[in-house]
Order: sequence, then structure tokens, then C-alpha cells
Amino acid sequence: MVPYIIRRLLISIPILGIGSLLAYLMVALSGDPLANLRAQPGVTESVISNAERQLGLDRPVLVRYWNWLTDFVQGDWGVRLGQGQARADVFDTVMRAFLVTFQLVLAAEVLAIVLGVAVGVLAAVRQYSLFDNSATTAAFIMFSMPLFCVGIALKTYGIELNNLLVNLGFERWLTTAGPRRGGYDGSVGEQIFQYTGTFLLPTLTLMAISFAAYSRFQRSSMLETMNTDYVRTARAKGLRPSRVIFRHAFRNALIPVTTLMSLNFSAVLGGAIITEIVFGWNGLGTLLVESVRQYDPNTLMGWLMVTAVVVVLFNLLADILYSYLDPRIRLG
Amino acid sequence: MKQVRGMLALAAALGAALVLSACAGGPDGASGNGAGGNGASSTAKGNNGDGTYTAPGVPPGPEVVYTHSTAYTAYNNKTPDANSFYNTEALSPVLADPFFLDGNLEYLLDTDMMESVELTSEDPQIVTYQIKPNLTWSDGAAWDCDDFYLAWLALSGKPVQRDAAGQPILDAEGNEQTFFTPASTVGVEQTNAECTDDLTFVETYETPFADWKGNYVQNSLLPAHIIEQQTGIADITTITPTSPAADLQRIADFWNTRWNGFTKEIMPGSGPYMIDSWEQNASVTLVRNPNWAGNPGGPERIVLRNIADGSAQAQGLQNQDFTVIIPQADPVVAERLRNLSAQGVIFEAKGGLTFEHLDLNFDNPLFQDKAVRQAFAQCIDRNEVVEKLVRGVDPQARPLGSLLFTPDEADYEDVYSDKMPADPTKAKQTLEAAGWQLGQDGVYAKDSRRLSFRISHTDVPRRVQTVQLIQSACRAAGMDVVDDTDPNFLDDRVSQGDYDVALYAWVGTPLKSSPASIYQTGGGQNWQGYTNPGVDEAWDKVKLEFDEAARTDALKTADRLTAEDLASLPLFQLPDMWAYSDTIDSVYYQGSDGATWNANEWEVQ
Repeated sequence: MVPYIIRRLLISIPILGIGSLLAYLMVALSGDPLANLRAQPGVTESVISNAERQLGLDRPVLVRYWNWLTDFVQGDWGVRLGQGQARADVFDTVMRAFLVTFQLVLAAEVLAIVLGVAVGVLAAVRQYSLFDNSATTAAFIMFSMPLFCVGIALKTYGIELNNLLVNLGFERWLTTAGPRRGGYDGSVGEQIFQYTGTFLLPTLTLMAISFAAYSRFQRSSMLETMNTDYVRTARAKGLRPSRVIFRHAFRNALIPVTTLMSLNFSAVLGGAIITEIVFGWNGLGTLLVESVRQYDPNTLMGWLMVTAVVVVLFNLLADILYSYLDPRIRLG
Repeated sequence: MKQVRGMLALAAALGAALVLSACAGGPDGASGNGAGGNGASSTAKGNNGDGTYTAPGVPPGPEVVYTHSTAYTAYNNKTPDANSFYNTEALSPVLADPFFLDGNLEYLLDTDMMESVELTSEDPQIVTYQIKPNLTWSDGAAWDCDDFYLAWLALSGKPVQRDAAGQPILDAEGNEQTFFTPASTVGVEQTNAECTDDLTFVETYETPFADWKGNYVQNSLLPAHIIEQQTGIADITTITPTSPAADLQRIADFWNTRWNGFTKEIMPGSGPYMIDSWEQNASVTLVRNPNWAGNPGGPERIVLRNIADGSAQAQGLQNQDFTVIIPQADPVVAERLRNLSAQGVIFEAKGGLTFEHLDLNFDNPLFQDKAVRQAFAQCIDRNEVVEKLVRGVDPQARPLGSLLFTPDEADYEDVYSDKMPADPTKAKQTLEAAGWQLGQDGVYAKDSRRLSFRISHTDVPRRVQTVQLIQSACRAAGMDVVDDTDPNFLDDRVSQGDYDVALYAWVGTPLKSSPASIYQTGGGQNWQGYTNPGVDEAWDKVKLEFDEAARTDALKTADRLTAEDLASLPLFQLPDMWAYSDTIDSVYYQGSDGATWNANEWEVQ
């Protein structure tokens, strides 16, 4: 397994290199980071040329990419070029954004996986029952609702809940915009109150579509597995239904869902943009939009590296999980 | 089974209806209160009525959470890579200026900081700043002439890199390479300066400059003692543009790059507030400055948070997460905020300093024909454009009638409405009187040239819609207007004059001489090639005249003559909108500094 992992990691390096070159060129050639400055009354050519020199924008784009690449491999991710960003360190910026998004995504994905798999299994075992039909209906509603709509609706009802709490003599609980400033303080109970109030609404929003996807995948995978010969044999041998489901069918039914988990997690991490905008969390999604809008290739490269590493790692994790779930699969 | 399925379908429909209704955002309370809102005053409480300002005493109050759409990034907002309006919002209460900029963009002498600022001589122009004694930064160091001198050294652009022979080093375009890289040198570049004593800063102008009051405002005065400590320079006032390059480089490197973000030790406050903490890309917190010279600020703490989405800001205000919000102008968000009046939310909107306009390129033979310019102006229906694009936010919005004044200025005169009547018939008459003939394709032509031209602009949806409306209106007048949408139009093309008609926005400033570079012959931003000797003469007067009345007359002359030439056609002001909880008073959005220009005066319950 170790040689396999090393091989996979080495293969990803040239792929990342080509991807970074293409992305850098596309953003760097699509516009001028100093366009807004040029449009201000009274700004002279001398100011513009000195600004270009300081930001390295006076060099050819391939030279700029090479400089970025050689600095990057030495751990220097460069500075932000967007006007108004004051040459903030790209590494710091990207890592902060990553942590913000990671906080949002982790809880949502864990809940979505656990609940989605559980509902999928139950729906498959009780196919065409009231539970199965309800779960199917709920999943399709969640698929069809735009994510921003779910978020805004949750916030609207969250505000009503807060107003109700105040009328009953309690404190406001749910936050509708941004993470809590200054962390969580007070007793354990108070911190739980603050934490849940901050994360509940964005977590529910993010997990809605993921949950729907996991539950549908798990249901169809479970149904397929339940109809295989070996499961029929197990039933025929008189094993308890729970043993048949969880000991024999469930593990094999998880394999397709494992693929979905790895793809979904990395996709959500890189682009939870809608949830971030609706709830005012400045994470990787908003950073991506900002860097493209400001024609800032340095920041985009930082974003690309982080999300690419996440994709590679999660795909690798999926492969490792396959080999655990199905001993017939050998990595090599 | 059918009954079960039917019930499920009904439940699904009801659930979807609930979610969709919340998503659509229907009325939450009483009907909206219109654009005027509480009608917060644009006049500062501390305006003494005689051209001076003194911070008023206000009752102390709790924290205010203020949201805007982009984060604070730099303490020194004068560099090109900082230079952000959102930094100005955070720094306005933190860094004192010699003048206080009122809500009406009037410069008031700040009597908490200055004894006087006077034009002590007109020829040569000399301005003397007399600083009050015993003023300090929040870290206890003196706020004095050294800080003015540092600002002059950095903003003048005079320290220039030189080769071994003492000649200025030039870049590929022939521009001198400077040590300091300010975003603008306007005004200060024409001066020499010195500290005659610790409290007296004297500027001498090489050429007269009437907008001298704007030289050291908007967070220009940074702590010289910090640079001295960090660079080992004993006295900043001994450094001149011809000082050794090593010294200039050390000071410039610090000024250019080290005052970014927030580091408590090197970023003190000189105003009513100082920065206490900063979470990158999230928030910056201001607390009262204990060493502030004047009356303490009202709010105990001001937290500026960046929330990009206007709807998120509005719901945050409704949920009492925020006290003041400054969303980007948006009719949907405006309607939502209007409907929150019963929940203690006050919404306001007004025309801002930024205005959309159409520049006609005089290098294009079509627009060298005045009849074409007149006809084009006559066919555009500005009222329709304003109705469709602006009144959703500000129902009081009107087409803009001046390039140099805004409607809330006392000297505003509408010099465009009579020339832009939205009358295609009149436009046709103008063209036919000049010899244009209507072709079979419905487009006028003259000397084998069709009356067809592009309107070039970026891909902002508002501009796309503007061009569509103009196309429709001017087609009726026999003109073929082509939409030239180019996301990169403002990068190079506009400054190279690569357009027939350019649609973009200018941002107004309190410095009335700034537009000279746009409309004077050969001006650095006169990309349309416009020239008129009378206009040039008027702008020369604007730049040099110290008497306000005479200056205003010259501005009006320039405005009127430019309007007669129909060189640039103003369309509308982009609206500013803001909203706040009814627990706070005096929140008024000022186009230059945002809504924090008078944050120290806020009374909060």
C-alpha cells in the first residue's frame, strides 16, 4: 500500500504543475489588478508605473509565473495583488479561509454522511414503505431547492425563533451572519449554546443536498447488494435479518458511497461559495471569487494548491477505504 | 397507498411553499418608510457654523457593529495596493486630520487638533498649519509637525531614485522611479515643506493649487515616531528628497509595506478611536482612544465586519447581529430593508458621488459633427434609465444634470436637461437639418457614412441594460447603436481612446480641481480628445483661484461650456444606501468616508 500511496502522490505533482500554469495564465491575462486605480481622477502614469514595479506587474506573465513557482516550492506563496488587499500574505489568507470553510463543511458532511447512510439503508430495507416514500420525497425536494433559498429560509425562521425566545425571556440564540467574534466564552453550557447558535443554520444548509445525495446513493446501492446471490444465501441459511444487512450487505453497499464521499467533500470544501455568501462566512469560496474578480493570480494559485491537495488526499483516502471495505481489492 | 402518496405530495407542496415564501422575502411588517427614512442629518453635531469643527460631548453608549462589504486591510491607506474605501471607513475615527470632512463634503477646521490652518500668502502660495500643543498619539508620543512632514515626504513623490551620476532613474515608459509609492500625489507634488518648529508646518507651492485643503486629509497623517524607531532615523524632518538613498530607502520601505494589516505596537491612533484588534478578512475593532484630545466618542467600541452579501447584511440587521449596515445598492435588498421599519430598522438612500456617464470620442469623425452629438443627446431617455435601474433603491433619483456638482450642493445647476429631452423626433430634425438622410434600413447616412457607432463598457449588468435602453430609444431616431461589452474595457482600451462612446463611472471628490485632468486639453485623463479653449481657461481658474465665489463661477462656466459641447453626457448618480437600528442616531452616509465620518458623535442606547 505504501508504494501505491507514494506513486499516487508523485503522479499528482506534474498534474498540479500543468493545472497551475493554465490557471495562472488565465487569470493574469484576463485583466489588470490596477484597473480601478487607473480610473481614479488625478492618478498619474508615474503612480501607475511605480505601483506596477512594486507589485511585479511590469514583468512578462511567464516570468511572473516562474518567479511564483520557484518561490512557492521554497514555501513563499507570495502576496495578494488585488487592489485594496495591501499585499497580504497569500499563505496566511488561504489558510484562514481554509479553516473557515473546513469548520463549516466538516460538521455538515459528517452529519450528512451519517444520516444519509442511515436513511438510505433503512429506506432500502423497507422499500416502498411510508418511510421510504418520505425519504425519497424529502431527497427530491432538497435536490430541487436552490441552496441559497434553503439558507435564506432557514435564516428567516431562525430570526423568528430568536424573537420568540426573547419574548419568552431568553437570549437570542441563532446567528445569521458570520462566525462568532472572539471565540466562545463562559461555562461549557454557554459555549455549547454559542457554538450551536453559530453553526446550526449554515450546517443545515450545507448538509441538505449532501444528505439527499448520500441517502439516494446508499439506498440504490443497498438495494442492489440485497439482491445479490450471497445475500440471498445468507437469508436462506437462516441468519437474522440484522446480521444479513449489517454484516454482509452494508459493507459492500458502502463502496459506491465512499466514492461519492471523497468527491463531495473536496468539491464542497473548494466551493461552498453559496453558503458562505448567504451566511457571510469568508472562506475558500469567497476567496476564489475575489481573486478572479481582482485578477489576482497569486491568491488563485494558493487556493488551487490547497483544494488540489484536498482532492488528491480524499481520493487517496477513498482508495484506501475501498481496500478495507473489500479485501478483494488490492492496491498496487 | 394512493391516500398515502397523496398526503405525501401535499406535505411536499406545503413544505416547498413555506420555504419558497421565506426565500422570496415577503413583507415582514408594516409598509416601507420610503427612501428618506429617519432623515439623519448630513451636518455634523460638532459643526460650529463658522467653518470649524469641535467634537461634541455625547453620552457614552455600548458597542456598535458596522458592516460593509469588503474587509479592512491596511493602516496606511495611501499606497496603491491598499487604497481602499473600506480602509477609509475603518481609519476615519482613528487617524486625525487637520480638517474634518462634513457630511456635505465641506472641510471644517478641526479645532481639537489645530489652532489654525491659513493661506498666509497667495503669491507665492504658502499654507501654514498651526498645531495645538500637547497632542499625543494613543501610545503617548507627540502628534506634531513631524507627522505632517512625513506625509509630505511620502505623498509629494519628490524622493526620486538616482544613478551614480545623480540623474533620475527612469522606467521603460520614461517615468521617474520614486522611493515612496503613494496612490496619488495630487496637490502635494507641487509643494516644498518644512517644520519651522514642532507645532508649525509650512507648505510653499511651486505653482498655485486651490484645493490645498485636501492635501493632508483622509488618513494621510501617520506616526513619524514609529518610522523613526523602526528605521533608526533620529529625526524625520532632517530627511529631504536629496538625502542619502539608503536612508530614503529604509523609510520608504517601511512606509510602503509595513503598515499593512494591524500590529498594535506600530499602529497607534490619533483620533477619537484606536484599533484594538483585527481578524484578517473578518473584522477590525476600534475602542476609544484614551489620549484623544477632544470629547470622547459615543460608542464604547466600534466593530467593522465585512459581509459581502447585502441580503446577509439585511438579515443580520434584522436579527440584531449588526447595528449599521452599508450594503451595495440593490433594489431587492432595499425593498427588504424598507419592510423592516416596524422592527426598528431605518433605511436611507440617496444619490452618491459616483455617477455613470457617456464620453464621446472626438477622434471619431462622427462625433466631430456637433449635430450628431446633439441628436444622440436628444434621443437618450435618461428618465427611463433611472426609472428602471435606480428608483428601485432611491425613489427620489433623477437624471444627473451636471458633471461637476451633485444635486445636494447649493451651486448645482441642471445644464443638461434642456439638451437631453428624450425626443427622437427632435433628434431626427437635428440630423436632417445637418444634411443627414434616412436610409432604407432606418439609419441615417451622410457622405456614404452610416450613423452607426459602438457604446463600449464593462460587463456590469447595469451597463448592459443601460445600453439596451439607449439602443431602443436611439433606433427610433435613426441611429444604429452597437453594444460593445468588454469585461476588460477599463484596463487599457478606455485610456487609449479605443472606443466611439464610453460608458463608465467617475467618482466625485471634494477636490473640485480633480476633474481638470479629464476635461482640459491634454489632461492626463482626457482620453476622449476633448478640447475647448474656454473650458481650459475656466479650469485654469479653478485650479488657481483662491476666492471660493470666483472658483465656483469658474466651475459653473466649465460645466456649462462642456455641456454646450455635449462632450460627456451625465446619466445618473449611483445610489448609496444604508440602514441602521433605531437604537443609534446620526448615521448618515457620506460619499467620501462612508458612514463612520462622524462615528464619535453617534448616540447609542
